[in-house]
Amino acid sequence: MNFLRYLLRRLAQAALVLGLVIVLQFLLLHLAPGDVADVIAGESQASDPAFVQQLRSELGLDRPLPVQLLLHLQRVVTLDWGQAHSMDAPVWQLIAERLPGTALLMVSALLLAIVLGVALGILAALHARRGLDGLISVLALLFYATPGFLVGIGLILIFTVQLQWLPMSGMSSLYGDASWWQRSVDTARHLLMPMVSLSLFYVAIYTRLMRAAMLEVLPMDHVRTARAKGLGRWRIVWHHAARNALLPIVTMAGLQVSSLLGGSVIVETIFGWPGIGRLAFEAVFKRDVPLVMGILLLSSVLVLLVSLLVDLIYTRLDPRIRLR
Amino acid sequence: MIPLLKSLAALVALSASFATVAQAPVRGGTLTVALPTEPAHLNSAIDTTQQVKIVAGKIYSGLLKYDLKMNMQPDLAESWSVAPDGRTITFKLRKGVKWHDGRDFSSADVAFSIMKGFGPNNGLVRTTFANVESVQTPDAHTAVLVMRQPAAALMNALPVATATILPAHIYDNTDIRRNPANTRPVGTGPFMFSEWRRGDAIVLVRNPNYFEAGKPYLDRMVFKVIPDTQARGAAVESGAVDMVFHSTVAASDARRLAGLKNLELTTDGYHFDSTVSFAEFNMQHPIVGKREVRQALAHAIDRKFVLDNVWMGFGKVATSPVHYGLRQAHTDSVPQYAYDLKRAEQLLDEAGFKRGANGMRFKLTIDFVPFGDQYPKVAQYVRQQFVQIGIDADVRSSDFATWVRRIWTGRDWALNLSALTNASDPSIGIQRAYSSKNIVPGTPFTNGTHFRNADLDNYFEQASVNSDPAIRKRHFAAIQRILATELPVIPLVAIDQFTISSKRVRNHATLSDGVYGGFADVWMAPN
Amino acid sequence: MTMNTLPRRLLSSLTFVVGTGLLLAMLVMALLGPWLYPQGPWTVAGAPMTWPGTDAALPLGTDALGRDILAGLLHGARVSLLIGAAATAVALCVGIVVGTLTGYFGGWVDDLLMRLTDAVQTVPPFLLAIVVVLIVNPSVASIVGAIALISWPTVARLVRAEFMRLREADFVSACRLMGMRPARIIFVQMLPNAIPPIVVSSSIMVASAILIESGLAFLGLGDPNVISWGTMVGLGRSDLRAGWYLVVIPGLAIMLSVLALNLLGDGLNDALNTRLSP
Repeated sequence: MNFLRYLLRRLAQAALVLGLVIVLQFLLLHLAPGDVADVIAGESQASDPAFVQQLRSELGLDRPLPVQLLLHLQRVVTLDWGQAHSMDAPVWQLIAERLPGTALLMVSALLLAIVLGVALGILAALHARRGLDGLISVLALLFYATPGFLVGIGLILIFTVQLQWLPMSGMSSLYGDASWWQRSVDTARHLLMPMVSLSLFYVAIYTRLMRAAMLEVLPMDHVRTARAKGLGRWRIVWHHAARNALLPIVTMAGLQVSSLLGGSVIVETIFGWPGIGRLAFEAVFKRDVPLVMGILLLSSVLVLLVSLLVDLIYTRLDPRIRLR
Repeated sequence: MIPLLKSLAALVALSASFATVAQAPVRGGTLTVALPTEPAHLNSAIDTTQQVKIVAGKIYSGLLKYDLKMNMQPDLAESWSVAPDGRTITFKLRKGVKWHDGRDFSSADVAFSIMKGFGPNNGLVRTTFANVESVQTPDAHTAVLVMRQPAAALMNALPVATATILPAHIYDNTDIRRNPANTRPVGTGPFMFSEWRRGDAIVLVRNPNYFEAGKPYLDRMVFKVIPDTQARGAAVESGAVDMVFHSTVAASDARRLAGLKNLELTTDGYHFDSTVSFAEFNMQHPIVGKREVRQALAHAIDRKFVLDNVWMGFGKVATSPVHYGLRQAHTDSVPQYAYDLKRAEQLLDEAGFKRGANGMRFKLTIDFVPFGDQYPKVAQYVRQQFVQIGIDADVRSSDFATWVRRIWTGRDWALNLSALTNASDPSIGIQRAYSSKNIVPGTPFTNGTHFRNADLDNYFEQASVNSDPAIRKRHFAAIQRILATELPVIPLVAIDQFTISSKRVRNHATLSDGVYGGFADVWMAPN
Repeated sequence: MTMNTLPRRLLSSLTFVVGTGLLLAMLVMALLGPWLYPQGPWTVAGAPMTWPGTDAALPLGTDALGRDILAGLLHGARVSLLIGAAATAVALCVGIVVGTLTGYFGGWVDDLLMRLTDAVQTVPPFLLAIVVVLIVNPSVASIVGAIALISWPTVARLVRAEFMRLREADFVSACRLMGMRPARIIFVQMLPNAIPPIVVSSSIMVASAILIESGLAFLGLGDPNVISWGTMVGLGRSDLRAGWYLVVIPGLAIMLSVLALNLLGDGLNDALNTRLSP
């Protein structure tokens, strides 16, 4: 019962936060000078006042701000995402088309970061304060400090320009009929560099986290007992030590969804990857309010859900944390 | 004996040269073009952005095509005649043309397109086609335009991407902006819409029933969305795409790419673009509103430097907002302002703006169009030049919407770096920017400087209705002289847009609308 | 808890020494800029697109408009470091205030302010920065503001956590019983104890501010009137193939300064935490 009450409280809080996010973002966007009618007319060097006025009234841009906000909130509540102002398609369709791209990029980057980070962290902890640890720590520091765009551009200069091994743009180069296997390989080739560019920063974070967590766990009693019992080295490392250290990593990963989404803007721009990050950036430029709001709403819901999930897992698994 | 050998040799040489020149087009293949931006939709009748035009131009057809010398050629119209008084234009239309959905093309489609399609909706040519009072359709293959007054520029404004002929049976009595055919177009052109992978690519396939038999040669066209400039350059270099158009690779890259064995560069096929970049002034500004100040600033900009280092030599120094490619209108005999910093300082002193205690005369903010990589560079260059002659200049960066609002509605600006497309005639491209009748607050690309000159207005109006080329040329010359004297705008570079393509791609720049045309004649040589 | 063991600890930490050394080098660069290149980074110094090492007078080459890259690097050091420091300072101010209020008072104040903090943190930070910079035209002020906006929640949470921990401590209860005013308790008793984690994290925050500024400039949202390392990257991006040094040189400078600040933070962390552990 305690748990259920906690869950309901958290959901209520999440709803309140969501509401705040929506209103704040709406106001923020409308503070920006110019609107999508300016952009549409401007982009095509169209010089027809009647057209611009008509566009404004069609899109409801000439109504007072509170009215527009209320209309927007009404649409959100009825789960009506609306029509994008700058693209001839409903918002949900534009998002649905690009979501798989970003999801693929983010999930693969995160998985790579976790796998690599865990492996490097364990290695570093096992060789603590010796050569390999120093090397890994320096590497982690370099990964952390290098700006994402530099990584991306560097990879392109090496793998596309010099070696001509990997394609530098888009998600696929196949058109027409191709087997499932061919499509997968093609997508994988396109995914490699953007995935690495996005994940390197997080590899550094997880390496250091895992190393620190392992260093805490390794001297503990149950590990020493296992060693005394004569169990195999890797069994000890994995079963008794690493698994305990994984929890903070996984929860941290969950909390970094928001930061990953932001990071994907640059990666998607450099690599022409069809995703939400770049769509959001373009939408802000075009003052396409429904589209921007749709994306922000989606990402906020996602972030809130994940953090709720993480909190629940934590409270479930770690009885030391009391439910307030 | 020897004369015979000589003639034989000559014959062999001649036939050899013929062999390389007149290679037979090969049927088949896929042409991939890099798109810098994903189009919002594919209806070029309501949208004049490059990314819409390049795709729509392959799916639809226009009434006419134009070769590189602007000689008119048939497209949907087989023959045409303009009445001597310019008040009626008759088009005889091709027979047996079918829309991609199988329905028959007829004069009703032409009438619809002119009166309700691109006529009222294409921001660039709207004013030109507003002169059409009605379109008569005495039979299914004849369309007669009845003009309120003659429109001299109209006959040069009929390529497919500008005067797109839409299917009346799909668009009539619907909201043209919301019609689903905007994203699943049905045209009469050489290629049919096949697939749109959002954020990734648009795919077109050959129209098997195209009205020019045996064409198009290509099986398929793919428009790949590549938003990053560097990525586009790398794509065309590696062969991932076969063509980049409208100068959408970095100019510094372009020369290098053009030098590669497998690529070639051309500046043909951009007649309908003919863009000139400039620095324009807010005539209501207290400081730059003074002519002497504007003249001084004109002397402070080295246009050759801008041409060579920002546009990498792709174009010519501009002496007027009219592009040099518009031979029917352009003239060089106008007052010119040589790059002379001393003269600039002298003029500013004479205008009453002496240097103050801190060495500065006055503050000035430079705005620029946030489109492309060139204008921020020009802005920085201009700022540096102005600082040298004692102007406390700074650059203001805005995004597109903010910039549009500021220049045409807010009006709190002094100098704006931008560019304007001439289209194929100054009446279409330039008149809207300098005629005082086109000062429309709130609407972009109208007369933003608020320049007013009654003589200029007069010349523009006469030029727009008079079909005599000699008279028009005189009027345009007068217009350019006024603009160079009053200087509401300092023209910078008349830009030559370029296309970089694989050498395997043939016939893509044989018409004046270049990449924005149908590509029915384009073929790809095998590797 | 004597203070003179702290400097000794710091100096014995290799990471701290290396980090500080690098940072000092950056600061020297920033100071050298106006001295070595009084004409500023904007003047045309030579032929455009000169490669580094080809001209003795232009050791790092020139960009597309002929501007000296070394001049840009030195002047840019000042701007990038200033933006990073300013943004962090603002974020610290806001974050400390919010964290103190929520941490000390709890209750509905805590609920309300934490929901606000959540709301700011829920939006992908980089996207929020982009939106803010676009609203107020890109300028040093708007960039500093935007970065501060996305950074203060972390500080607030940190301070809040510390305050919540300290609130239950004996000495705080004693002060309250004595009738000490809340303001005095906060400023004199609690805040000084919360300083160490704040100091450690501010070093990291300056680093991340520099990274964000370079990201914004990369996307074309930098201040067009000043040259920062990020601006140089943004400008060089369009001519990347003709000269990758345009992006790589300022990119390396960014990387080194972020490295320096992280090492500094790590060193401080090691030294200060050892002091605090029981």
